[in-house]
Amino acid sequence: MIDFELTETQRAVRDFLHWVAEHEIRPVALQADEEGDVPLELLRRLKELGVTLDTLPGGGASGGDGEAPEHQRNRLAVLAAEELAWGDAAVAISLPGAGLGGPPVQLMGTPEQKERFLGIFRDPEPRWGAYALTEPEAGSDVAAIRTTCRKEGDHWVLNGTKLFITNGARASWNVVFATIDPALGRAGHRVFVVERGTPGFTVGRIMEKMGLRASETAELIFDECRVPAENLLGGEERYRQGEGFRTAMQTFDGTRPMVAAMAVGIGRAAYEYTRDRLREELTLSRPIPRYGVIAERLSWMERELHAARLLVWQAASMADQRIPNSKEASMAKAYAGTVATRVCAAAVELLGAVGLRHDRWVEKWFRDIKVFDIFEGTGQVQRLVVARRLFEPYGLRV
Amino acid sequence: MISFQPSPEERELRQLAREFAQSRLRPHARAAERAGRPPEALAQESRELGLGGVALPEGWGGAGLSQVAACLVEEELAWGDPGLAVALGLREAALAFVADLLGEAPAGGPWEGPGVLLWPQVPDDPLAGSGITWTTQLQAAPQGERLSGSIGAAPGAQEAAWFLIPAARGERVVLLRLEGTAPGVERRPLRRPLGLAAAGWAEVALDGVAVGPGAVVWEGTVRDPAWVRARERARLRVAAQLVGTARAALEYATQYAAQRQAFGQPIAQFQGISFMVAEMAMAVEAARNLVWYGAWRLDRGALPAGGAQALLHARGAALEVADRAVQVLGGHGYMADHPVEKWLRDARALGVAVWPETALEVEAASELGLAPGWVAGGAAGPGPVEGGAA
Repeated sequence: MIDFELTETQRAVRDFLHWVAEHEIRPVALQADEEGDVPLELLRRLKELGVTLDTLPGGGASGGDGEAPEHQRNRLAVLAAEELAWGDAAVAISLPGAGLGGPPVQLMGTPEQKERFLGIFRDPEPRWGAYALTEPEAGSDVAAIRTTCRKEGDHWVLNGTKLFITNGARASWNVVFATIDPALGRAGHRVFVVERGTPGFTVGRIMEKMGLRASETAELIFDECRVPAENLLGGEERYRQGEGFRTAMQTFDGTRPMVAAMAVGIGRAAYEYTRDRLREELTLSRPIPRYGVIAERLSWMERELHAARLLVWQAASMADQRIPNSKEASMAKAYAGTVATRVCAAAVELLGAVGLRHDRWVEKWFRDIKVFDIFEGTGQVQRLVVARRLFEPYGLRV
Repeated sequence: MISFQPSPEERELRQLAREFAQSRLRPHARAAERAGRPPEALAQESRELGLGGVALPEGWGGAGLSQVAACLVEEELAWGDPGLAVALGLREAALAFVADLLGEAPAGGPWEGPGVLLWPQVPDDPLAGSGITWTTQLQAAPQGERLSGSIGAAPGAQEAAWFLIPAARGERVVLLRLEGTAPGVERRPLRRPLGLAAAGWAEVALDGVAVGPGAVVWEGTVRDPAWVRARERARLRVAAQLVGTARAALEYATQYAAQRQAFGQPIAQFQGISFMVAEMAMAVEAARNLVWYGAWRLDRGALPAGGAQALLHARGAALEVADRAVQVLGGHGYMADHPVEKWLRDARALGVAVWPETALEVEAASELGLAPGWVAGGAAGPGPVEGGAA
């Protein structure tokens, strides 16, 4: 049945994380942005409170345990993601846990590998996993990765560079996609877990960015990097039918709604801040005609954000109900990325020149939001996915 | 629990509406547009099926189901043809408004025959957000009151046996029921309106029409929950019709793009086309979700339910989607050989004339607590923080 009621658990999680976002994350967010780093004390504190990426799908370290018959993990995850990103998106994606690295290990790992790589997150100290797919010359075109791997005895030798890897430097391990032969395309892909300290693996630059500055975005360099054979996810038999590429893509079905939810969270932060600021500051100076324009603009912001939120909920609920959702997940991501970016731009405009001040938040959200239309599949890639699903029934692959 | 999957009963109902839309509405769309009315046999069939009154209480001759179910059906009917969907549902739409005001059982009737709700609101309503300014005036006269004023264009007015018309009585609003043949009621049929011509449009002039005590169906204020509920239901009905219109255009354009060849391949292979179609699909999905959300809230008694936001969104989405559908078909889209040019005209007409509430943006803003003075912090509306909480 069509329903929008939150369960008690969902309500409790959302309310708790909103409290965390408001009272733990917001107070340090501006400074973290300035310093380009999330204070470790905050991450420790959040881990104490149980706020880690493992509580979201994608983390996976806590997955599979005692789920309800109609499980609600994805719905919980998007509610959580919106609140955390409302607090600060850079902090949200810096939370300890397996991150995007979780799903490949869950999907492909042997029981031994799952224990070895996911077990470390039981440690009370914050730890990270990361997901290294993108390369300088391969972004949306995942099949074009050029990082190579070749088998030498009981090791694999990796060569290449990975770029824009979130938490890549601080991660205890990175899930690294490489190819046995670039000419093979998708069929050549292999997926490794490369641990920090592996010989031949070094961290290159930490990127300076437009936004999400407190989040660590790393360049990873593999130079004759020798990875033990037991770190090939799932073992060699798993790769007969292009499973490496499929895994790379499957990771996104679950995480796209979550990333879209974060975009909604940032947009909502900008909407609420602008609404409240204007209410406080402009009451006396605002002429009546101007009021109407502002009210119309604000209600447009709310409307578009709510439309995006419902698309996110739709994709997440379908995932929970085991209904194929790649079209809906891409719609949510594309829609949320587009409208939240517009909302944040409108927020700066409505506040005027002071909207550019660092202590007025909206300039930060304007910087933070743009990447949500880029990472985890660009807006163009999402539209491509949606278009493919739409034209499939006509026997067309667009 | 958040879910976007209709129940088995809702699915069945939707299927019934879909089949009727496909097999009965689509084939008659163009002829009904030219004739300015649905064929009588089709009107008869529609009455028997009762698809126009899904959410109408049983006491009023409806099915007494949820607004969510009604929205599912309205989307399908408008998918079949927006003009026929409106024309065949005029009476039920009017009755739904009265039923929300009066409750379960009919009173102040009779309600037989074709009828229509008129909404004579001034376009630049200065009271919007807190009140309504009508173009009709109720004046005291020696023998009771008299109503004067005019409605420039109203779908359904041509054939209606009775009208429901709101008017101001001091600070209050009264809903009047007038016979179409009453002295002083004059209607001039409007030929060739932009869209929805099957609904039979007319200009209505009221010149001192006597308003007897039996004519007052309801009296109250625009803040009364019953009035708010009636208005929300009307908004959601049209919003669902806009979604159906948009979906029709989307599906037609998708199929066309998959088959039409240019430069040696189906035009869907060009991302200039396929991305446009993807965005159309997103717009339809987003608009539908907002309609469902508003309907769900209304079913749970939440007021306001978010109907203004849903309608504003659907209005924009339907116009954009239908416009792009014409664009995908190119020159063919502009011709009456294909239905998309009609859907574009219908989408525009639906957005402004079937539920001709003006200053909807101001209403939506005030429901979010953004009224002049900004009294409430979004407490009234479906604000983001409230999320799914009713």
